[in-house]
Amino acid sequence: MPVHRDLLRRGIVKGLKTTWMLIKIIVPVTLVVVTLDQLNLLMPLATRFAPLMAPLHLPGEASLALLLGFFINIYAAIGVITVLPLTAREITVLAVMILTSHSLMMEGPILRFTGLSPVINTLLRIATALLFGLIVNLAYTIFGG
Amino acid sequence: MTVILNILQISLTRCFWTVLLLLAVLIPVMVLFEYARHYRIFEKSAPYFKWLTRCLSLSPAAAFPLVTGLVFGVIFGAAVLIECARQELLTKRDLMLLGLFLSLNHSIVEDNLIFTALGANFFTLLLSRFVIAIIATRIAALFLDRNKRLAGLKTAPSPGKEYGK
Repeated sequence: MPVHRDLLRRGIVKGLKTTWMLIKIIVPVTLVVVTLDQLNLLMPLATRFAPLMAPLHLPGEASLALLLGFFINIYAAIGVITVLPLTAREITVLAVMILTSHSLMMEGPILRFTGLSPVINTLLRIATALLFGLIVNLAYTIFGG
Repeated sequence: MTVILNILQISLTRCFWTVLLLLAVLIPVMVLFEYARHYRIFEKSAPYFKWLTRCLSLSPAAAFPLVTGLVFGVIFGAAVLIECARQELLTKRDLMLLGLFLSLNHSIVEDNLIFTALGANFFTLLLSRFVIAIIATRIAALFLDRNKRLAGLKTAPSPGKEYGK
């Protein structure tokens, strides 16, 4: 079956090529992200942003979860969320924000080839996260729950 | 010194597993892609996905990268998108809009379930992510289409009207 052999071969080659393309982005970004995480570089930034959590009905410590989610990944954010005493409502608001906007340093560059600049993508996602965090919080205030 | 070694070790381990995962998923996905292309599955299945791509104002060809990204996450969605871009299956406009949509809403099963396990409401998460991403994509589409129209006017003025009235 020459057709199958040809399709299989082409598929495997493409899988390898695409993996290689992604590796070139993933390896350097992982290094930066792990450094940020291990050296706790986001902590001072988090204390500065703590007052901004009030309109979202979140405790100040939640700012660290948000920043870790934005710049490292959702698992780093989860590490913080599990040690904070949060209600279901607060976790939902936090989750909406982190899910719309996370691993920005990884996902921005990966999607660059679509024509979307990583900087614009990052700013857009953070703005969207803040906006919809406010909206979901407002919805909870209005409809209860 | 130990800190640097620690960072290197964690980074390398993480990269190793990521690469393994990429190979394990991308090779089957790309083989599937080749078969789907060969047997014209995209063209045949396009009508079933029309509602999904239409509500994002995308062409039906966008369905495969869209579904891959929604289920498996940005990296795998991007991999399929790269392939679509290589074969010129999608316009630049659709490519950019898909990138935007997937960056806001992806990996909808795994990620949402992780936060549900922590106590969040699954359906609130799912619904709000879709709403957010659809609104953002439609707004971006509006801008892109308007700019394209304006650009079109600039580059190709109708004869006799180049210098205004």
